[in-house]
Amino acid sequence: MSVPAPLLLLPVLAPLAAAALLAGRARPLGAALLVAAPLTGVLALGAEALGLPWLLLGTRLELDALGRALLAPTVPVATAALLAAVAGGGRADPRRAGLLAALAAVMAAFMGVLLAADLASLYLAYSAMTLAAYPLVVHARTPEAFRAGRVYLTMALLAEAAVLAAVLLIAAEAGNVALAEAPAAVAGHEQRRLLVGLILLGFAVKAGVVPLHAWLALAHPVAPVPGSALLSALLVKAALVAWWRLLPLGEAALPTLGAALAAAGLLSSLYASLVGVTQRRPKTVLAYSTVSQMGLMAALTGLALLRPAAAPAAGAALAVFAVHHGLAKGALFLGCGLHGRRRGWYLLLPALALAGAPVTSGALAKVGLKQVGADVAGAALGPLLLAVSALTTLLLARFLALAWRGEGGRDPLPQRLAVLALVALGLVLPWGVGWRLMPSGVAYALQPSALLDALLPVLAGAAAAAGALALQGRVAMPRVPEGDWIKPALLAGMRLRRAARRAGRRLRRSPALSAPR
Amino acid sequence: MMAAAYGLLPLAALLIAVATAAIVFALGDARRRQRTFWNLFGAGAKLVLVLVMAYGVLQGDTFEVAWPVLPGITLRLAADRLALLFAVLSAGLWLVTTVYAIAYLEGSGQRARFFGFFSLCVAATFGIALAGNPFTFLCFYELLTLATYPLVVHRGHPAALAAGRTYLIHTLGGGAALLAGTAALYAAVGEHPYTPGGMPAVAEWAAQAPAAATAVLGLLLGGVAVKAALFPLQGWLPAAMVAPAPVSALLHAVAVVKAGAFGVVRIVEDVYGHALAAELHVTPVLSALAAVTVVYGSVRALAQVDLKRRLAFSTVSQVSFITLGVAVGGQLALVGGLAHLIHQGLMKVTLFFCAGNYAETLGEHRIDALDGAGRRMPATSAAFTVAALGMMGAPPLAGFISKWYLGIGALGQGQGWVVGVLVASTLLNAAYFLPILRRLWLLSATRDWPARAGRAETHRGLLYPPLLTAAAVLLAGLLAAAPLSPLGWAVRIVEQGYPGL
Repeated sequence: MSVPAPLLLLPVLAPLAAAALLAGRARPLGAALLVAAPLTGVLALGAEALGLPWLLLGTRLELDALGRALLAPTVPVATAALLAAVAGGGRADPRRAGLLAALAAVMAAFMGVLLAADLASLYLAYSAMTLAAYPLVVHARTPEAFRAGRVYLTMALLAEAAVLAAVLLIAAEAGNVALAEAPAAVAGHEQRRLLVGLILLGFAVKAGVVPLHAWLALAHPVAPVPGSALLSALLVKAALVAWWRLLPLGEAALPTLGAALAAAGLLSSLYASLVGVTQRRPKTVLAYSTVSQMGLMAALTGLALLRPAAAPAAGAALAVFAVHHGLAKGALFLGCGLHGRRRGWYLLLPALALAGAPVTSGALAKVGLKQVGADVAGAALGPLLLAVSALTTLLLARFLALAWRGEGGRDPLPQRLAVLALVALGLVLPWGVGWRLMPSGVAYALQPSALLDALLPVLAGAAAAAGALALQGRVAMPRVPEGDWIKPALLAGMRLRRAARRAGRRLRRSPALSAPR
Repeated sequence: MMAAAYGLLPLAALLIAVATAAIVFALGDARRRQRTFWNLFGAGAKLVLVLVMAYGVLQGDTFEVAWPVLPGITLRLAADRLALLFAVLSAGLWLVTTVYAIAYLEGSGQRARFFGFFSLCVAATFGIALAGNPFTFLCFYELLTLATYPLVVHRGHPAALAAGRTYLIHTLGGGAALLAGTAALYAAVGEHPYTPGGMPAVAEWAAQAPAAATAVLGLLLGGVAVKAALFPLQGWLPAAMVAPAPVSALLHAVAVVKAGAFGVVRIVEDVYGHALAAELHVTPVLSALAAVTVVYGSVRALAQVDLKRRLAFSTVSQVSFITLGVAVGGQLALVGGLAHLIHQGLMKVTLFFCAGNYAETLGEHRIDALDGAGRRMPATSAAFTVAALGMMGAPPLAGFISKWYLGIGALGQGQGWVVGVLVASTLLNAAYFLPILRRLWLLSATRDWPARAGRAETHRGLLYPPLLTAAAVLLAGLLAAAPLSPLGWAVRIVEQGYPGL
């Protein structure tokens, strides 16, 4: 199957073109094209690399292995999210056209991240995605939404300052380097440690590594459902894509930074699960679950940075993990948009998958993580991963308890179909990708001992959840604000500013300082 | 005959602008149609001539006109690649701004005076671009000061007069420094044409009398630094905001600040040469000042509530990138600086056009009054958005290309701190441009604006110029790798003119 290379531009341009139609009179046509636009991503699977030397600083588009794997969640989640936005309950929304345009822009930018094969294009797509996501976050136009938007954009832009510095450092030595050669360029860079540090820091905000995760917990609950689905299932993965394309994984060992990232990732996972359990809104719980899962993927990246020999296995495990998480999280968020009394049934399977129940895609993803972890860090990681799995189960039990009963009402058929399709694909696609990328893992995950291994933490988590249910009403659950540290920080900043203003006024009024006229 | 006329193209292009000024003055206020015709004809004809020259220079032709004024002093117009970079910008934006100004000033008084000095101002800018030696540069530089003053005080109210006074004090002071510097230079080494890489005579002189050479270089740079709005001499620029929008556009994008920045390029690269200037320890000071100006302008811009004032401080910040690129040294940084000469012009002219549109159409000058303006004026706001994102350095727009080259150029020179300045500038630009974009597009309108008069959101003469320049901002970035982009032209200048950097 060979597709002409210029069609590689289609996944980026099609959503934008459809969004442009939305502004004019051809609104129904635009909406239909918009829903179909993500499907053009399939074309990229068969296309050769595309070189456009006259564009920007010499653009190259090509799908690398991780990008290829990530198309598996991208195409269905984006299609389902757009379908839900077009057909779903938001029809009465006066700003629906704006929402669709923002979804289209985020989609196009994310496709751009997947397809970019040179440094400048990656930076272009990544920063465009950052800006395009802002209108999604503030779509509700409430003070809460604007606060979330401000926190999101501030954190994202500060991080992108580090990205810009890193990009310039790479470009100073290698020019607008092809991404296939970028890891080698970074490995051989004069200021390798600084550069790797900047890359890690710059993309850590999108990846939601604690404590840089605060925006996620604020943005997801306020964004409209299709928006949070795109944010949580896809957008955060762009950081992983960038890490895997720029970091010298498999080229050079950076034990300190690698260990730091792995530790930060695992801590993120534990911490986010614990905080997430205390939350009261289902979408916030899901946001913390995303932080927790992204922590595990960051840990995989850290392990690969720690030991270059483990990089190929870690890459495969990461791809499977990302596919699994993207599909499951997309289904859960879109499921939150349903209103039916029994919407819990739509959510059950993806929640079980995220918890890592046996035979689900989550079990496969965790097998990959466990194998790489055992390879790099020995047996020490085993108990830690067990705890992570148990807490994940507890977190998802909390989510199911909160989200099971919808507020009632009929859901349009296309919206329900969109969720069901994601649930169904979540059962299949991760195994398919796993079969291609880590066949031994697939075989291992289906052995009886592995099934038992997967079952244990889920049972432990379920037991804890049952215990919590039994204690409900008798023990007060600690309250942690959404975005944990951000609210006290914002308050402190406001108080500080007010105090400074008051002090300034007092100074101006004091007779000692006022100049004689 | 033809060949002789071809060689005289620089003079012809200069005379067209002067003649336009004369005709417009002579026509008086009443004859609107004729004035419009001559304005557009002059601007169009000059653009054509400049493009012909640019094509000729690409083919390897040389254009030079010299006229001995006094023994040892010549007025010299020469069209090299660097000159044409600036000339194309000024000719192109003159045409666009003329169209805009005709629509903007419709119905207001004193238009003959306005357009006359407008043309004169462009003639002076063109002279600065094509000046072939320091004396010629000085002449046109002073002419520019005088020609812009009536434009700054055009409205005639007390605030405008006060701003005009500030402007004159600053620029005449700068002009005096430049005059003293040029005179000292001529006294020391006599007259020489601009030489890429530095005049050999200056190098000899500096070897014998380094202190004097440093002092003269300081005087020369101090003179042009006023117009380039280098800290701490930037005070006049925000004050000059009282001028009508087309004047601000011209002042900030093409004429005055660019004349200063271009002067820095000429003095550092073609009079002293970067190597000598670095040897005299002037370039580190210059780059430090430019860096301070970049940050200072952005920080001040943050606090402004008036749109045009915010844009003015943004100019202070952005123009210094040109100086920074020159001062840092090395081919790539110079490419970044020269490309930014064009890029900043395109972006800033767009922003001022849009600010003028909001003021003319909606009557809004303050940023916090622009809530929801994107719905009422989508095309203007789209142009504003493109230019503002370009200023932030967001890819794929023009500003990103400048920052890319400045950054890798500085790193190549071992001056990593410049990356810090670039990053800080990006963040500060985001901090003062993104809130405007949020107001334009995401908030809903709270005021009653006059309804649309026709199908277009505003007068077409006001609408098309910013759309055109915004498209140029996009294309300059998107097609940067193409040979005739501003970047491509800058690369050509540096590769062929300054191979030794």
